[in-house]
Amino acid sequence: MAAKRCIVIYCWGGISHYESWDPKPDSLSEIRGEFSTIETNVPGIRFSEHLPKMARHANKMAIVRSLFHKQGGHQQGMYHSITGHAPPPGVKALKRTNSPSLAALVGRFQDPNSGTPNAIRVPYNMYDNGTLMAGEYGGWLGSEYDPILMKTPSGKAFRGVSRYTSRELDLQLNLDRDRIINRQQLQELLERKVGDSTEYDRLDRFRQMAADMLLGSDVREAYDLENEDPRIRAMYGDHIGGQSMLLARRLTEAGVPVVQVCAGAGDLAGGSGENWDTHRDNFKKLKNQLLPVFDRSVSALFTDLEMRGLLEETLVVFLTDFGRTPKINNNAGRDHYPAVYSMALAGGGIKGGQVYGSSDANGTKPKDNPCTPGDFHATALTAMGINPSVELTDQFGRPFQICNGSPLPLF
Amino acid sequence: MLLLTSGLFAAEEPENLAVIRQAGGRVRTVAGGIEVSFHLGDRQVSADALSRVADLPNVVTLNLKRTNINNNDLRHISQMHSLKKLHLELTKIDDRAIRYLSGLKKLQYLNLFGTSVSDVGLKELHSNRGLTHLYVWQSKITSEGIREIQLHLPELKVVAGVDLDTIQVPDPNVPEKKPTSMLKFVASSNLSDAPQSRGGENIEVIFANKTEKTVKIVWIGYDGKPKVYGQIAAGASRTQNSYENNTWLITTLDDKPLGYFVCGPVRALAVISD
Repeated sequence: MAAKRCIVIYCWGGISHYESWDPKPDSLSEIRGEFSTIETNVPGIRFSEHLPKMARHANKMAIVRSLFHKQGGHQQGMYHSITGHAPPPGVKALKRTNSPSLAALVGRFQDPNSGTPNAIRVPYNMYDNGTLMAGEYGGWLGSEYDPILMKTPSGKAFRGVSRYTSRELDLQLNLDRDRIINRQQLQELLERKVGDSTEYDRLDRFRQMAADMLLGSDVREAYDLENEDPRIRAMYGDHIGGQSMLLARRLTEAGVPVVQVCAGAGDLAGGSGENWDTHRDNFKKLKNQLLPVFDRSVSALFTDLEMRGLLEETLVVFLTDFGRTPKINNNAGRDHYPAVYSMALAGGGIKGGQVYGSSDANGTKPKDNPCTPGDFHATALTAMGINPSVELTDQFGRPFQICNGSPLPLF
Repeated sequence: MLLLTSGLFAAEEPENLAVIRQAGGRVRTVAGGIEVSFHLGDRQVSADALSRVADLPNVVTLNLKRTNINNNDLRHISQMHSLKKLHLELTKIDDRAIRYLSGLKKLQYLNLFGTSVSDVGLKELHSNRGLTHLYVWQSKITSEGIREIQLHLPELKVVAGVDLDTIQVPDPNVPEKKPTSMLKFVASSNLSDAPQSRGGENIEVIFANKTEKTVKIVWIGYDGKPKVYGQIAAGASRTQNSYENNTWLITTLDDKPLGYFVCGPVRALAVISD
C-alpha cells in the first residue's frame, strides 16, 4: 500500500558520507577521519560512532551509498538533489520555469479538497550568503504549490544565520478568534482599495490559509507544540532541530501530506554556522553540534512514528546537496564532493535494514549500482503511490515529465 | 469529504456513501480495495455510518482513530472479512470490543495505541493468523500479554513503544547556565591593534554593552578585513556565534575603535565598558 504522508529531512550544506552512513574505517587516517564506527541493529551495517541512537533504527532504513551527480556548488547540488533534475544554467530562486521540489510535487498529488496546505516547510528557507536558493518551491507547478514555510515555535536555534522573507507564516497562536476575524475584515477593506493583481492573489491565498489554520483546524492544533506531552517533546530534544521533527510528525498526522525539515541553520554564510557545509572543523562541528541533534531528533521521529503505528504509512526521505571530499583539508574540514554520497529512506513501504549500492574503498566514487538524484526521487514518488514517469503540464499547458529516473528496488 | 473513482461501487452504494460522507468519512480506492477513514473529520461516527461502511464491498482499510466509537459499535466491523488494516487508536474501546475482531482472518495491521484494551482482550486475537503488526503503546496490554500472543502468532510484530516515564523532562524554571568565562576587553583606538582572527572551537559570545552609547560589533576576518555584524544599544546584550581565536572589534557608531575581544575556547561573556 502506498505511503500517505512524507517527511523530507534536508541536510543543508552537504552531509559528509564518511561521518554518517558510509564510514571507511579501513582507509588511511587522512581519508578515514577522526571518528570510529559502530555496529547498528542490522548485522553488517555500520554507522559513524556519533549516530548511536540512529544505529538502533537501521532496521527501518534503506541506506543508498552510491548516489552521484555533477554539481559541485550548493545551489546546483541542492537543486539537483531536491528536485531530482539537473539545474538549468543560471538557476534563480522562485522562477516558474524551475523544477518543483519533492515536497511540492508530492503535495501536488494530494486531494485538493482536504482542507490542509499541500506542503509545509520548517523551520528555515535555504540561503547561501544571503541569496535565496532555487529548488525548494513549486516551480512550474505554480505558486499555489510552493510549500509554505512555518517557523518552528520553540527550541534552541541552530547557531549561525537563519533568515526569513516576508511570505512565511509567523503564526501568532495567542491571537483570539475575534481578533483574527477583525484583522481579516480590515485586510479585506485595505486590499479592495489596492485592487487586484497576481501578486495580491498569491499573497491572499497564503493569508487565507493562515487564517484557516488559526481558526481551529487540526493543523492549527498540530502547530501548537504546547499540546504535546512534555515527555515526547523532551524525547526529541529542546532544540529547533528536534522540535522541527516533532512538528513534522504532528503536521503530517493532522493531514498535511508532506513536511520538509531543514536540518541546520538556514544560511550557509560561508559555512560559519551550524550547517553541514563543514569546510572548517568538520569533526568538531559534527561531533559537538550537528550529529547529536540529528541523531537524537531523527531517532525520536522514528520511535514516535513507529509506536503510533504511523511509520509504515509515512515515508521519511533524507536529502542533501552532495557528499564531502575524501581528503581532509588544511582546516580540518571536508569540501564539496558530488561524485559519490549517501542518502536514506525509511518507512512508507520501504524495506528497512538494507544498503543499496556502495562506494569504493575510499569513498571516492560509486562501486556498485551507481544511481542519480532522479532515481532516488523516482523511488520516493513510487513509495508515495505516484507514477514517476507521469507528465504534468505547467500553467501554459507545456508538458513536463515529473521525474527522469528509475525507482530503486528498495521495497 | 468524499473521493471516489467511478465504476467501483454498485448502484445501491450511493446511499451508503452519502451516510458515510455525512458522518465525515472519506472513501477512496487504494491498491486491493477501498479505504474508509474518519480520523480527519469531526470524528463523530454514528453506528449507522459504521453499518454502512460494513455494507461496502471490499473495504481493506478502516481508520477510526480518535473517533467517538464505543465497544458495541464495533459489532458492525465483525463481518468485514476483507479488512486488512484497522485503526482504533485513541478511542474509548476496551477488551469488550476485541471479540468483534477475532473473525477477521485477513486483518494484518491493528492499532490499539491509547486504548483501554488489556491482556484479557488480546486473547481474542490469538487465532488471527493474518495479523503481522500490532500497536499497543499506552494501552493496558503488558509484556506478559505480548509474550502470550506471540506464542500463538510467532510472526507477529508487537510495537509497545517507549515508557515515557523514563524520559527526563528539563525543568523550564531552571535558567540557562550563565557563562563561566569572561573575555578580556582590550581598550584601543587603533584598528590595526586588533589581531586577525584564527580558527578554533565553535563557541558563543554574549556581548553586554555597559556603556551609555550604542556600539557596533565588528568581526576581524581570517583575512584581517573588518566586517560589521550589528549594533548593540546601551545596556543591551547580544549572543553571537563565533569561534575560538576570533577577534571582535567594538566601535562607536561612527566607526571609531573602542577596543577588542579575542575569543577563548568556551562560551563567554564579553562586557563592553568605557
